[in-house]
Amino acid sequence: MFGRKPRQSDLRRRFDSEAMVHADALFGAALRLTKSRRDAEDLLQDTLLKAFQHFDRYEPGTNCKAWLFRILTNTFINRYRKSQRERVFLLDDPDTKPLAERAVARELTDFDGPVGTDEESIARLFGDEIGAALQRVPVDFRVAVLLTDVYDFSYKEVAEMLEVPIGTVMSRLYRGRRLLRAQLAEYAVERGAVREIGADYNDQIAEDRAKTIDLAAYRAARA
Amino acid sequence: MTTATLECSSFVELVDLYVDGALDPSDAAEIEAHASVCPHCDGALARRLDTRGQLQALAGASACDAALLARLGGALDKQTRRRAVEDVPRYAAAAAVALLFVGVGGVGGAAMRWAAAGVSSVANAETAAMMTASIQDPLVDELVRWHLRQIPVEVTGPDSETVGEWFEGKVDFPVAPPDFDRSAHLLGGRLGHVEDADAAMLVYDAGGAKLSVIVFDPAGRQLPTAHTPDGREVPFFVARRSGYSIAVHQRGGIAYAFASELPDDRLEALVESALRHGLPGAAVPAH
Ligand SMILES: [Zn+2]
Repeated sequence: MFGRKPRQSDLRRRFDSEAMVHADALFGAALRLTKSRRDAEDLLQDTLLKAFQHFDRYEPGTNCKAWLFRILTNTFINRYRKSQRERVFLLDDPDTKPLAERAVARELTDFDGPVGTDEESIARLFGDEIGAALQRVPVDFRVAVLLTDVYDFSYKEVAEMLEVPIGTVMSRLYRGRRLLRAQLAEYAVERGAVREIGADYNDQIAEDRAKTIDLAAYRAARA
Repeated sequence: MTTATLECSSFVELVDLYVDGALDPSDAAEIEAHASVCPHCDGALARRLDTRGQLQALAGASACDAALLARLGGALDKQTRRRAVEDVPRYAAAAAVALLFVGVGGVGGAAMRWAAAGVSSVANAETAAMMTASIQDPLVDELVRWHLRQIPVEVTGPDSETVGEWFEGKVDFPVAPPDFDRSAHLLGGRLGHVEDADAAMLVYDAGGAKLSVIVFDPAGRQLPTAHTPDGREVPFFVARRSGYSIAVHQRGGIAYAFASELPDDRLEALVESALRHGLPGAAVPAH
């Protein structure tokens, strides 16, 4: 009589056809961001419920996948920051740095993530070395690599999703990639694929320490 | 033949942009030229392309299994049902707004009220007793239009008695500008119309937001009967239109419409404070 059932099911049908088709991709990203399958499932569910809740604000015809990934990464980052702060608080020491600053400092430490988690060992056991290596890249850099290299979003789209300047996306992306390559090289050495830790590996590490790209400065210097 | 002019250090700086296709053609050509003559940099480029390829392969590597899809579907179903309750008027036909009657548990002025689209506390709808009624769409529209108009006042505040007396003889009902404690200040008033009937239009400043109070005789107009299913009177109902909230209180043959872009809870608090101070007509039951 008030037309509510049909209207709601219309919205739901639209959500199923436009948003749910990205569920696999979102789940894949959730698996790379979180530390367990269970966390990934929770993150995916929260993302989809949030998206459906605001689906009337989503403009049909715009990039639904980007919109969903934005919700996913923001949901994850907010939760991650919160849990990081909690963890730092638990590990509190008489350091004089403010809590928030220490939380950030901790996040930015290379490879200061979950070391040798079960998920990672399992991933490597099944040959998913790239996934395992990615898991060890600190969150901010990992998000940039994930969105750009895995899910093929442009710098601009990622910048909008994360609400940071494009330059920040690029520097996070390049640093993330460097860390990833260094990690892959380490795996290669570990399993003996690279017998000689000679020139190649050392060169790569040196190259990976090269400073972040500044195209404008580069061009100015050349001009 | 291109000569490689690039230094290895510059190559390393630019190779990521090259891989991303973000270099302009001439810079890209320099990268390619350098890689073709420098095995070290060529190797660096190859590693990047290889890593990139491995990462891209991850995109299709995971899928939701049936159990996960069932869980997600169930969660969405639950939310779909909840939204069906909350959002009825959002999809209502243009001719009439379906109003949802919501009993919000607890005591106080707004314990029972009428609510329409987007009213925040309708989240309690799951536990609320419900019935539906309708209000003529044009009336709410007209109230919003009045609220939006930027027209000069004919009598200025802040003294509510002066403003109230100015309306004597101009409208055929007593006008006593509501008192909102210190939450809103009377700026002034003017004569207006609600569907051809004379109305007193009052303008307030509510913490920087405009609050319009439109006092009119609702006789002959279809305001919702402000009663719960078990016959108790409700103090006011709230409708939402184009981002504006309209609260309507009607008793004793006088209707008071409160219009503002304030959040519903703030508008409700203002209306409740006005009701606490009493409004002419409020003492006389409507029926
Ligand atoms: Zn070179």
